[in-house]
Amino acid sequence: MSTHDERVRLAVDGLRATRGPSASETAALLARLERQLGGPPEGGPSGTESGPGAGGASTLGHAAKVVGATLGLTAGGLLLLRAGVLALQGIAGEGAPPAEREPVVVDRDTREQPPVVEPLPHPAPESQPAPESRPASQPVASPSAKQAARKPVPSQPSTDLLAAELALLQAAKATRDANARLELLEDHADQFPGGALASERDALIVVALCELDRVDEARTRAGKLAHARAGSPLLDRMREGCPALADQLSKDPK
Amino acid sequence: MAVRMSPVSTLGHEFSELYRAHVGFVWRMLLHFGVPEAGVEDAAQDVFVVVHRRWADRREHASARSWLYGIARRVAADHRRSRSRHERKLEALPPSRGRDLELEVGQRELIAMLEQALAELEPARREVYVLADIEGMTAREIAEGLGVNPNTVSTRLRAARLHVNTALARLDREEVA
Repeated sequence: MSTHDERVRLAVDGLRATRGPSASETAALLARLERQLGGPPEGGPSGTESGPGAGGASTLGHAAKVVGATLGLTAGGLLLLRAGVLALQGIAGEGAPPAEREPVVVDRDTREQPPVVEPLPHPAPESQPAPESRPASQPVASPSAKQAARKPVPSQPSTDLLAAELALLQAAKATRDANARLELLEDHADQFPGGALASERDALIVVALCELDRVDEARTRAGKLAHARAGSPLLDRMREGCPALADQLSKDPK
Repeated sequence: MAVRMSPVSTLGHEFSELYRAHVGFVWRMLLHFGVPEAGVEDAAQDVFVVVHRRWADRREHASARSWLYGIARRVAADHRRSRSRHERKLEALPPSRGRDLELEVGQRELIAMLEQALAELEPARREVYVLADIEGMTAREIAEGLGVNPNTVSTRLRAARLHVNTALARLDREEVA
């Protein structure tokens, strides 16, 4: 029976291992999410993870809700009382002076806060300009995102940066669809405009553009790359990947 | 070098941590809920878009997985409803998981037997088995995710394990014969 149990365990492990996403699928999906969502989520202070250990946070949240509800109800009750008094004064015809000051203090406080912007998906970029000219699309920090913004971004070792660059490029390379590949590559350009693998990325962009019959754009980019990296093996790869540029690339100074 | 994000993600440390820790779980759940392999990446994207939008809700759940499970189930249902005929044709195509080829023949057969045994299970029991024995969720997490009593989870799990063990033994015998 123990051998049987072991076989079940082996099957379960195998099933779990083979039904999950590959590393490139994981990276590609994250890149798509970054493109669509743009920035960190809103929704409360950061630094707490959901899970069994979040009991303290939920207790605090509950207490805040209770306090908020009490304040709200109290303010609402006072408002109702005030309205009732004014109505009675009006009925009695005593010529009560109009209210000169707004008693709703709670509203004033909330009015001063900028509106919370629901994260919206970014429109899919049809044709992006060169990475250098693209503005950073960081979302406007909302009040709830302030804490996250306050958190210092840990300085990452260059090896981590390189690994992240490489993962994204590998994900792009593994993507057959030229449109999807181009999106990933442009995402790389967004994230790592001057990255260590920028030339590699630009060469891949040229080939992807060529596959999409956007030869003019491919030509422009190839020209820039050929100028910056004269004699680079990347030029050969672009020639192979995009025969339409063979003449241009061979004419460019080396 | 003007890098405008950490190399982890522009989506923030917490979100990207949750993504990395649970993307596999979400992926497998979507497959389990009947999303075809061809559409699972899109469905997983939808799950994490919902996660992003409802980020504040995560603390109301016993665990991230029970929260994600509920979202994945709803997203999978939406995908199943909205699938066109064309997509259903894609579903009919054989799965193309390259990693399957990396496994030994014996393990592939074993996995196929387990899948067959799971397919024979009543859906409610299969769900509990997948969550408990394949995904490693606790009875409490499963109970919350499914909206049932933990005792119900335990009962279903016992029955499911019994069936899987029996079915694997039977399939083993059939293969030998």
